[in-house]
Amino acid sequence: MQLQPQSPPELLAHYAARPDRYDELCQRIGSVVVLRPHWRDFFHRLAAMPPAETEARRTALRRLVHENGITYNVYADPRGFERPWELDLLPYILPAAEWAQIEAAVIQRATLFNLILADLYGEQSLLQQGLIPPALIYGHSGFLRPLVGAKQPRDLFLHLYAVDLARSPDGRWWVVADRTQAPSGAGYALENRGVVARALPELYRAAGAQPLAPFFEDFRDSLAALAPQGAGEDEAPLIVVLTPGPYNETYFEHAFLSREMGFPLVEGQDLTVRDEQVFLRTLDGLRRVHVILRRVDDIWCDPLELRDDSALGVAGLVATVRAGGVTVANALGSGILETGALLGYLPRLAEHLLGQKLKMPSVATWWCGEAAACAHALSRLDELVVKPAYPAMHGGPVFCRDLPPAELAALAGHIAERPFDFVAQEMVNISQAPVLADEKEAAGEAAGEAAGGLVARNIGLRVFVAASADGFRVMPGGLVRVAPETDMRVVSMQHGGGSKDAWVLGGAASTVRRPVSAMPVIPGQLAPRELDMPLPGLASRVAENFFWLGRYSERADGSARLGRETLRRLGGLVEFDRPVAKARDDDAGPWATPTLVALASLCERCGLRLSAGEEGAQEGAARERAARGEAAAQDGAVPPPEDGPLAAECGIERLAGALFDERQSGSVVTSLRGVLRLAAQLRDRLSPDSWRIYKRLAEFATPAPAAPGLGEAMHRLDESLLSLVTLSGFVIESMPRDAGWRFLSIGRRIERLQFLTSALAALLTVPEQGALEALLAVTDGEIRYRSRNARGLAPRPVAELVMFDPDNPRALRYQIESLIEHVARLPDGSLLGEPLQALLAELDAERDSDCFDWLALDPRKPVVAEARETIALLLRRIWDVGNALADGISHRYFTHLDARSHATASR
Amino acid sequence: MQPPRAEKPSASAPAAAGPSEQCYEITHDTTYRYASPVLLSQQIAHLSPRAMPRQRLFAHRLAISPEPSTRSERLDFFGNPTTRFGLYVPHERLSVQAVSVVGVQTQDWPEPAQSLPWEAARDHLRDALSGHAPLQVDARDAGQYRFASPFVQLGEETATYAAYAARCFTPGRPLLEAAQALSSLIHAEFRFDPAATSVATPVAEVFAERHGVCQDFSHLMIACLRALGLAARYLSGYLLTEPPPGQSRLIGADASHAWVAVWCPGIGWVEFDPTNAVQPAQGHVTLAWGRDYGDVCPLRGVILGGASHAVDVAVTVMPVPLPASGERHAPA
Repeated sequence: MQLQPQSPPELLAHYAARPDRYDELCQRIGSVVVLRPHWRDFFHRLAAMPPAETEARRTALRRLVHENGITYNVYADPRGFERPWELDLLPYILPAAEWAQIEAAVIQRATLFNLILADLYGEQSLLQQGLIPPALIYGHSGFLRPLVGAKQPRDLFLHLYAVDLARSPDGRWWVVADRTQAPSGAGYALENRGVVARALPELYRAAGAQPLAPFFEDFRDSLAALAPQGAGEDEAPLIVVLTPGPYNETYFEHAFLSREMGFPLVEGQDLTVRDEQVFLRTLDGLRRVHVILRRVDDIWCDPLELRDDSALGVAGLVATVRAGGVTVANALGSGILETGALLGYLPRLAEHLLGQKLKMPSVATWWCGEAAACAHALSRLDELVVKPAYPAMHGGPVFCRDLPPAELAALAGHIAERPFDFVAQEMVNISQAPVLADEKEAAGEAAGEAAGGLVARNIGLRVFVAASADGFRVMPGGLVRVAPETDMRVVSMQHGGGSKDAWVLGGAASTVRRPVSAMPVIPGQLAPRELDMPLPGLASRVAENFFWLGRYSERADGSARLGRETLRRLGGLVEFDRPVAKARDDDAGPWATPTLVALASLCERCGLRLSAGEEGAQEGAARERAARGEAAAQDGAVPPPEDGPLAAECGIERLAGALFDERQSGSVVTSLRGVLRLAAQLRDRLSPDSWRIYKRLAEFATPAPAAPGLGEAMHRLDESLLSLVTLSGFVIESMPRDAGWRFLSIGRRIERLQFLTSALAALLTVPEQGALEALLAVTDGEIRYRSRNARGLAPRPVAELVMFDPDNPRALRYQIESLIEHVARLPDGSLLGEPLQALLAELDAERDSDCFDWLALDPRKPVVAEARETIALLLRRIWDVGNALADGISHRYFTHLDARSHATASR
Repeated sequence: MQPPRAEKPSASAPAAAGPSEQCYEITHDTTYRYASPVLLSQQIAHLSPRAMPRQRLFAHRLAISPEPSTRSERLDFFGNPTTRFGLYVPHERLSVQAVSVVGVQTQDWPEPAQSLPWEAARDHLRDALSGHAPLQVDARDAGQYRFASPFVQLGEETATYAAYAARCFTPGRPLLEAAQALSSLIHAEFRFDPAATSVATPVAEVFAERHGVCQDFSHLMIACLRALGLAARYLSGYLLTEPPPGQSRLIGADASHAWVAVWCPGIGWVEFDPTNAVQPAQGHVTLAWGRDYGDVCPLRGVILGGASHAVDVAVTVMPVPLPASGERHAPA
């Protein structure tokens, strides 16, 4: 490749412009290849950067992607369910003049589409006049008949619309596909901008790319303005983002948009319809919802009138829309336009509805439902791409050129048999743009040379249009999707592609309507509009998730501390246990001391099976399954203290195995998985910083392949505890004291209360010094004990510290007091608090009891047995109250597994 | 749950309003019992017989217990009357009773052999729907029923159904004759078995297993007709419980029934009952029509809570004298 003299050749050593594709970076003038003008400044700045610096920027970018937790869920991805977002360091650059043409064309298209939707769900004059073949609509499963006749506020059907563009070898832009019902990608584009602008701050500033944030602000204002007429004068409209849930491929984006725009993220089960209005179920009761920005596809939105097997929708939503009780964006039924079959009719529809020529053509497409088009497609099928006509149909694009003759003939047969189901499209050689080669590519293409050089990849541009108060507005930029390999034809995130930020340069000052701050506008810097919206009550489901997040993180903490202490003793890392009163002289094996027996029994109570046999593992798995349906998961909690059977024989290996076995209900891995699953579901409510801590915990949530050795197990436990402590520090220091925090705290306190009662029941009454040591160790009380008691270990001062100390956050009394305080702040919480008050009084009454002194006596004396009995009863009672509180909270505040919606039908 | 029927007059001598009209009183009881309380219930009922040229609705009452919190009426997309209601108070039982008094005229269906060849009907529809031929209103309406629908999936099964139908739809055969033959073929080859299928059984399974109930046979016949490129719709309704003297009792009495109509250019919709291999006459009372069962399900709902439930449906259709005035009364 020949370049201008000032272009540093090494960056482009592996960059091949191709004659059959448009190259976004370079152009050929005569026999000379030069950089396109709008790339020059950026390119030279990049070239001036030392290779090590470029690599450091890329590392920084990847770290930001990882830490921000940007993911894209890929079904059946071998690398795991949540895949890190692939983002190239280099932006895609477009000059202002070219952008203005794209902008005008997509605004025209959005306007046209909105008019088509208004007609299809209104007069249907386009069908009557044959401007759209009726077969195209009637055969489309996305034509929602119950919505015909439903009026939309301001006749607006498309609130957010996305269009996929591609550039042909001659440099013209074509529309490849339209996304009209719940387009994804706008949030990823904003996140991409934030990351790239932080990785390349000086290049971003120098380029003067147009900011993206005003687009979202306009969109937000537009949604707020579309709240139904007559919506309460005294309350601001409540806008929610409706998501199918964490398993959706773009859930990250749903959470991100919800956070950025200040709209609560809800699932279908959080909403309910009453009297032709939609309400959000919150802890304080029902709250009217005025606008739903939906990420659920059309047919899943209402099990009553659309697909009755949908668990994602809101029963009665369609009727509410018909009655004008709620605005859904995009309008229900707008998915009807997501079909290649329509493309061929757009030019005449533009003339008819707008009196204009279509500004940007669609890729030539023949719908086989039209006889002439079908004949044309069949006559040159081998040159075309065949796709299902409707999005609900299975099967991706078929590049007929690749088919052996027999398969091509079979395909032609299918088309002839049911022509309505197919479209045939011209193949487009899409353009290519530079991406930074990663290490393995550089190694593969030219040994060791120019890691960090540029290579060419095929790209497609997704552009976003949103309604604003004064018409449609285009996001100045977009989501660039990049093929994963050179010359790969399909550009799709689902097929492993990457992405780029898109920079639209400068532009006339008039197009930037808002004063732009000196700082690049990056995510998190949208104007804080939440302040003028009243904080909506917490959704019940969210409260439930916070509660269990608290319980699982505390459960992980308890298991890790218990496991660490038991391993220490098994491994001989502490002095041999000394009896409190009288030595026992029988011994056989490592579990023979009373302390170890008690610890083993506690492990079992906490769901760590130490006894041999498959039974244990199976039960653990069953418990884990039960724990997944949280409402029914009480049995996953610490069971009541009682004298359980002792583990006959066990060793370090078995305990170390159990601690990291995901089939065991009490293993650290199981609890951490619970933590991560809930954190993912609460993602929109967790700050980016706390999200990073959760990401770090993920390292310890993978099961150990085999039982780790003592050293490795101890290390894993130490590291897990460190992250858990960091997390609880974050909860204390940074979480706003809202209802979510309160439920998280209640979950933690209940779990810790139950763990403490079990640990006390197991260890306090064992007549051995070691048991008291172990009790202090698992309750993190050694330092405080030593600072208060110079004299060595005795049951009473240990009980003082672990049971009655009001200032020890790991003492029983502290949990109860703290729960009383939290519960009192819940709506209708006073009833739940009463048993706790009684319990506190009972606990305080026992404080001066002689029991704790008697424990130090010879265990053969009858008073010792009596003392043990008394203490066991008290602990049992505390456990029961804690358990009842958890039940009570669940019944009063959470949505229940057995109370989910389902459809019924009669004959 | 069935109301007493002893004192109802016999059907043998219909009264007044012309010799060809028969009047029926239909009682359709639906009772849901839930294992645990239902906290919230929303229902849509297609339980009010629609008026049509050969059918008059004299009176209709829909009684719901417990009393719904909201209730409204509306015509659906296909023109069927619907009632939607919501119950916002916990309940462990829901009973819905529809009582309708309907006059049905005898129907003289066109002579099947005189209808146009089925391929002509197919091509007429195809041209009208693809925007080539001038579009008649009736053809556009028929087009609603030409394509796959939620309970009549076609897709890759299209060829299978088309091949089965081809046993009756031989080249050039008159459309209605072929449709009648198809109705008889299904009646002959498929076993009526109320225990074999549920409301959600796919057509493909019915076809493979060769059994089902009226809903399944209707869906199958519709699938066959649509696979050939014809328009076919699903009708839900009732059959006379006790047949007139000398005639045998038809399958599907004592329950809601379903049958099929095929669209014939120039004639309109012509009905066939593949469950009984007959063309509906005076004993078929129409409730509603749509693309398939899903569009006209008698009582469709979404409930919150309830755990499991049991449903009882009881239908009686009794001949009654025509109301004296012969005019439609406002629903009670």
